[in-house]
Amino acid sequence: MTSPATRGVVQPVGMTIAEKILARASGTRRVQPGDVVEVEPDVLVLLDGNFMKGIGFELPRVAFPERIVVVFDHFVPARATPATEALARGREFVARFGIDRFHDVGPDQGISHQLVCDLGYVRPGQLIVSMDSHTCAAGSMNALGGALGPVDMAEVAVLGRTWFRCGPTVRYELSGVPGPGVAPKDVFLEIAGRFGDHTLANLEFVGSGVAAWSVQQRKALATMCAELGAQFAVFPSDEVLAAHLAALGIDDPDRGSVEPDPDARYEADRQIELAALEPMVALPHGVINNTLPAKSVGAVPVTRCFVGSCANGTLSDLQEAAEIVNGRRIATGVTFIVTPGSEAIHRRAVDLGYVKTLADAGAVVTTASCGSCAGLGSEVAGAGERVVSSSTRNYRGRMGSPDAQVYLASTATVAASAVAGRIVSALEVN
Amino acid sequence: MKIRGPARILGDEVSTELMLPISALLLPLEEQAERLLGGAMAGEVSISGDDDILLAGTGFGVGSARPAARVLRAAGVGAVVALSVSQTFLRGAVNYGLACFEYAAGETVLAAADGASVVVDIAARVVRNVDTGDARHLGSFPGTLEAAMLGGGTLDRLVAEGLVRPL
Repeated sequence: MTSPATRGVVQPVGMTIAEKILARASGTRRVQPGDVVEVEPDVLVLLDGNFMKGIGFELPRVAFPERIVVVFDHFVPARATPATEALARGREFVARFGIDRFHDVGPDQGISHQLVCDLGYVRPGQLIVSMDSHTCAAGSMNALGGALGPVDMAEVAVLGRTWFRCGPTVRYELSGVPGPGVAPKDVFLEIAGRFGDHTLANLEFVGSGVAAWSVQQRKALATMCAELGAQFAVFPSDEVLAAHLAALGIDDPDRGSVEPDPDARYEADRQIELAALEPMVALPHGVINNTLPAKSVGAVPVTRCFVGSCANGTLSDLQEAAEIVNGRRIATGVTFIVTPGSEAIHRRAVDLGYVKTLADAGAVVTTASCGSCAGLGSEVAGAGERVVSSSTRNYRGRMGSPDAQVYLASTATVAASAVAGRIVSALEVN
Repeated sequence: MKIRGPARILGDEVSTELMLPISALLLPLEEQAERLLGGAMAGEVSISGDDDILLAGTGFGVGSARPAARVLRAAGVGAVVALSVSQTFLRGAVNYGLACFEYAAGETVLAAADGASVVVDIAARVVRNVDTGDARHLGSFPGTLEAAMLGGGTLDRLVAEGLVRPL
């Protein structure tokens, strides 16, 4: 299914990581920007939404049940029909096709992208797909995560194959050590503000700055690349990733890892010096060319703060939030919601005392779900509210009322703002 | 093939949240479309349902992978023409049969007043403001994708072949 418009027109050059993985998944020697390739994904994640009336589909058969993971994360705990019906339908699907990897409501509950990372559901060099736009999070594992729609997911579950249009690759080299209060979220906000829209692009992150990051930190940035319009984001396979996979008991963690060819072609090659960055904030109602240093935002009082989502619901996020609010009180009139990325993270945060510290300060710690980030559940923003959130997106209406004003920032900035009652970086409360 | 309708002018990064808000996500398709027709998308334009031609900037359909293209089609949108279209939205256009185009490289957004008569001439690969004669060239999505979106979408085929059944 390679596009004849581009096939053979240019002299062969090396491939980027994304092009190599697409080539492998499509059984072709090479893939280049402009190609539409038919691929056989290695992992398929079906969500509760795939079983929702009006969105999902009944599937008479599936091609590769062993490649399927089922995760309930958007509509949990289900509060009413049709969500309750969707979850029941999903459970029937799991039983009917003998799906082993199933995350129902309960101790195994979590946001799919967090679970994929924490449980090693995708390996280096693999292609994983799901119906959620943040599937690009899997790039932290030197893999490609492709976001599909509900029809695509049904088709790929039944036939085992789907398609992707390969875009150009932009290379970001991150170097140096970030200063205090600067997180991967701030790197994303810097990229969104300085370089803007990246529709269809594959983003490849390299450099000494990346090498110092944990897989979870890489996931935070990879996840956010959906907000740039990127199709894929990917990080190198290195000792950090190998250690992460080895800790999960995965044998031969380097197997399948992918590096770019030395003569790979990039649409742009950009350098970011992490030491030069500072805590950043995205203003309502979008991130593209719409970010500022936190210190330049001015006096913005907030009524709601949120830490969570597939980008920033990790144990480290909960730890960071707890350390900032420790011994303090959440400001009067502020609702501070903290949602772990999984129930395993939630339990660990209880064991380590983070949840108590947060609760003592006045935060509300919820069960793991997409929840507030997607305007779901019971914790949604009301009209006229000003929100600062470490979640993924701030389009008008995303977190609830279209009349709410949502700012995006790092977990540290959100926690500091919850204490201050206005948007401030952690540097201002420490 | 030509698609003619009133122009609706949109900016950059028009997200799917504006086309299909979370509050409408679980409603029947007809109600989702009625809400779109009854409200102002992006706070800027109202959809008439008379083959509106949405003229947008970069990143049209960014955000959630929810089936926004289906709602636009059900609401009577004739076509989307944007500087760039998000991949998840494009997949929806292919699946649900919504005409969706990107301007050719180097083109700018067609100048048109809200409601101006606009024609998308697919064979000639142009979008034209009938009132002013101003026109822009359209780029090409790979043929298989364009054929699917202009042929009613892949979903109908999948259903007809018995591969999937809508819930």
